[in-house]
Amino acid sequence: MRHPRSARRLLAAAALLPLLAVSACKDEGGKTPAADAATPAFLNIDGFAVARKATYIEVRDGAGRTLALVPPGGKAPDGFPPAMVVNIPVKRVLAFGAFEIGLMRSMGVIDSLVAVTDPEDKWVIPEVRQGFAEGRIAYVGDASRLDYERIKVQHPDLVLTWDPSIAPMMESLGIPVVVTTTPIANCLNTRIRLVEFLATFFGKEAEAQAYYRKVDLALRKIREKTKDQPKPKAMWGDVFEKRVLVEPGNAWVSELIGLAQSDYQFKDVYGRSCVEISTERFIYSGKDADIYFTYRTPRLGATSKASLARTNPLIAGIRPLGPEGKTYAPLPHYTQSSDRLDEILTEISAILHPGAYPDYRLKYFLELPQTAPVPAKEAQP
Amino acid sequence: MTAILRRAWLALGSIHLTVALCLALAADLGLGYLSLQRGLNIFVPMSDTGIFPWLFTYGLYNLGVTAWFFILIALLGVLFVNTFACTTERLIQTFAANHRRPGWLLKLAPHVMHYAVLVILAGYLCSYVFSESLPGRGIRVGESMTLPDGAEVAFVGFAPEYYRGDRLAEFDTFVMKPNARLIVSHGDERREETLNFNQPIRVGSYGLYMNDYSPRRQKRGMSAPNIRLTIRRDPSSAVYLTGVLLFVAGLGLYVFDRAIKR
Amino acid sequence: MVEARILIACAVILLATALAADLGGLSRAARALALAGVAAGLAYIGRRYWLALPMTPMFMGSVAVPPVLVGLGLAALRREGVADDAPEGRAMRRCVLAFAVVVGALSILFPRDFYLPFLKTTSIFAQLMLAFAVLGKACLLIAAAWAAAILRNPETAAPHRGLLHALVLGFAFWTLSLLSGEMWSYRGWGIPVVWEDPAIIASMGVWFFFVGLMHLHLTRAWTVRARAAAMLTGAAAVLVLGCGPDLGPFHPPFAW
Repeated sequence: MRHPRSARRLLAAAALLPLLAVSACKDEGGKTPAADAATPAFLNIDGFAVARKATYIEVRDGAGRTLALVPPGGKAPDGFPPAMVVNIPVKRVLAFGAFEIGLMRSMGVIDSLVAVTDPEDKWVIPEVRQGFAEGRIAYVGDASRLDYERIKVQHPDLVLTWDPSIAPMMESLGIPVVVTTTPIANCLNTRIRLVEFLATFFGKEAEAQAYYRKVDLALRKIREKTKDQPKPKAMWGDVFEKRVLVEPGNAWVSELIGLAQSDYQFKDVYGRSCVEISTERFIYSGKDADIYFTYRTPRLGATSKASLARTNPLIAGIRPLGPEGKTYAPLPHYTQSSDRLDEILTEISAILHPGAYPDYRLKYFLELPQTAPVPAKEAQP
Repeated sequence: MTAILRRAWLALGSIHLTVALCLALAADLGLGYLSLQRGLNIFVPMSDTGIFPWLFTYGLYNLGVTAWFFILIALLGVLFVNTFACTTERLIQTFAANHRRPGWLLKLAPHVMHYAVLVILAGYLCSYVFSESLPGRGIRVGESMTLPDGAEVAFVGFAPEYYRGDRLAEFDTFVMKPNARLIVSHGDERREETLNFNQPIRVGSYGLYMNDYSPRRQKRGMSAPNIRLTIRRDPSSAVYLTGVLLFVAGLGLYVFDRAIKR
Repeated sequence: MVEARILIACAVILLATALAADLGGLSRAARALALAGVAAGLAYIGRRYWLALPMTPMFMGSVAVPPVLVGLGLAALRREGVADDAPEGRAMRRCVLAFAVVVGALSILFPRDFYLPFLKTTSIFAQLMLAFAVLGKACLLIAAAWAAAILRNPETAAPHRGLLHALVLGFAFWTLSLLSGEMWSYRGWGIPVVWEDPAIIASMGVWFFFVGLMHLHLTRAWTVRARAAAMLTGAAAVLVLGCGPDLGPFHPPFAW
């Protein structure tokens, strides 16, 4: 080599550059006045982010849209169209998803809910039912056919949705939209920390921290309880008219099953929640699975293993649908109980390891019998 | 002073440094491959925020997953300088030795490729610094949206093309090509465009890229017909696309030169 | 998909038998078996394309390599005029067959063919990206096979020519694959690089490794043996970073 020393020096300098950059940035981040231990200058939860600036908070939602949150006394920053500026704390919310409504309940701000996209009879959350009864909460139409006149009457400050396509219309009404889902399935960390993102809109960071700690404690207990348990094999998904949809390996259920000392059959699959895979793979993975979680509720036909096999003859041969395996269906209130995520996670763990949770009574899932009990009328001769 | 500068120039252009940098880059990208398994979503916002804001926020916040990227930037920076010095030095030598011989242009092929790599790298950097991105936009049928430069885009409807044949049962009745019909009004101009995956449309200085559409199947769908898109303005795209063309031209010249030699 | 899996299993079994026959000194039988393996492998590729078109079949970057590698490897031997029974020819041929069997066996034992193709892969650039990547991997593994022949007998000229030719060609294909990926990224997402795809990052790693190796070869900076050994390391880079991202978890073969 002709210039080995110079080359080495250059490489050393190159290696130092990132370190310099890192130290420089740390200083800058520390100067943000709004930051403290509970509300860090920058918070990143998977696709969501919260960056606290001097006079406002910049958030990035699940679709990658950037909004400015302006606290009382703050000033709306330049460069944000009016519909991308949210005055916080928000007082009137239209929420599409039950998960977000559960999180609002956990933060004690469910009183802010003024509109939903499911009719009254679908709701089991007491505050929502009461809100309907008092006329405070309104059904503003199905997500695919929104009643904009009704929305105008409800006058929400913010829309929490999974559907970015409503944004142009909402923005023309002057209502900011936040997308609460990401194109890729939420991991366990995102599932339990999404509340921290939402808390920024309500100024409920402390409550969000309490929620996080509660769920985190439940996860620690799960890890402890299932430490020496045998490893069952679990799968989560369903077949809808030739389409096989499963929870991928990057989804929170997969991580939870792994954390609870169990094997998730689709842990190598990557993608969005309800990702589509080939039928062959589903059947292959079902051959030696012990436990199967279906997406269907009893209302959608998951009343027994036999009924699932009848609906989807393709998957009738998977082990959990036979007498040797177990199949579980979510109960209708499962999706509306995100404020009790700790209990849901514990219940899934109890399903995987019944031996570690003696006398546990299921609250959110139903273990399907081999055949549905015959309705009383038909049983009579 | 001139001698010191000359020595520094040669040291910067050392081919041994090139080899060392390339091997270091390979190792770093190998590390990046492993790191990415733990945090794919962290890199997604980079295209929207720009590279430097991203480095100072997402990059630092997730340093365990992104450290390789900091090292990559530094290594690419040094490689850029090294390639420029090395190629320029050799180009001068090659030109001096060959410019009176027939077919001397073919001798420049490797240098064309090297400069093309520099153009591509510069284009990438400019793209991640100067582009403007509005991700996560959506629009429902019958509605319209306004772009930052005032252009109006109305979504008229789909002219879908469905999956044909029965090779994959899962794609039965599937919309393979939605052909989303958009009416674009920009100043006095009004025209109809068709938007599809991999078929962006230009509206002024903005590009509209389709991310998703619904419904995906014939006569089905939970939500109203809609498209989801990213709107981007990237003046630097011309730079890196020029680099790509330059590289392909250089590669063609090089292969041609080798073929003649045989 | 079951028929496709049978085809690739047949291809790998035929190539493994060809390798065994070659090691046993039955070079004519080895050639015939290898050609049959190539035919079965190409039929597999055709079947996967037939199923996926107009989309690109998913995760083909590893499983499609063996037939292309052996086909191009045999053609390279003929092109360089190396006799079947010459020591360098034997070394190169056996190395190519061994690489093909390793990649094929890994692809069967660690399949990742259960994803349905996705719509954005209808782009011609996605198709080119895959095709060039497979050709690039095959050529670079052929260059490594020539390197093995050089290590065995550094005096003969043909392996040196063959190595440089395969290296240049492999590098060119690999580059074109990356550039096609860039064009696809630009047309599909409006960005120059989709950083969040680990396979792209791994491909870039392999590209830089071979940029370094190309410079070593073109400048003759190291000894012949050292360069040949580095080329064999390049084969490891291709196998780990080039083929690795296309492999899934272990599945017993024929259990579908």
